Amino acid sequence: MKILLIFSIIVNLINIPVYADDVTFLEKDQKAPFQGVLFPRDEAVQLRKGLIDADLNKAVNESYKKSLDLYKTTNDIKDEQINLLINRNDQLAKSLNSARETTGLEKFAWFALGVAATAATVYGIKKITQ
Amino acid sequence: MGYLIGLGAALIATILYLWNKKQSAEALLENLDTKEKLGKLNAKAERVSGLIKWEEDKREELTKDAEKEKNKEVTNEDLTDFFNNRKPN
Repeated sequence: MKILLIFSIIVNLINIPVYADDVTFLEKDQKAPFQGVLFPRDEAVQLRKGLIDADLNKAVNESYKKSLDLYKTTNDIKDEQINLLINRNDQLAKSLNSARETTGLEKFAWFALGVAATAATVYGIKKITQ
Repeated sequence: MGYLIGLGAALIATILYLWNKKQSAEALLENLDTKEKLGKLNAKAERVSGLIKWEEDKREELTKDAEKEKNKEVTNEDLTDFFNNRKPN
């Protein structure tokens, strides 16, 4: 049975810098070139799969974090739009109110217009009857 | 005299008409400004939405690649390379 000498895996997993030789493949009965931890090949394959999964989970997790930030940005944009519309709505409501309420100057203008129209009518009638 | 009164009345009516017209023109301009701002924000939101979609696609791609890598037949050299490449510098 083929066996694999894994020297640095454990060290690598607990994140301590490797200070010895590379991971080396050993045939059965072959003399080990240095002291280390011996793994059966199947175990090494399983460990490789586990590490690929761990890498994937890390990358996917980072991607989800980015997506979350992007969703927050979208949320901020929507909030800004809502505020913009609320402000505009308020402005329009105020404009509508002020348009409905005649100001003092407008009242005076309408009054003057009425006086002028009446005077013109009286003057016209007078002219006709003369 | 009558002409003067008529002229005054016409002048007042014109001023009132122009005043109202100016008010509605200002309101329309402000509406256009608001629409423009909303349009810019929509464009920004679409760009962000595109990035979100890109991240989703990236996750799918990463998962597919990882599955492929896990299920492939590995040689002894693949195994040793894999572990050696993961060693911290």
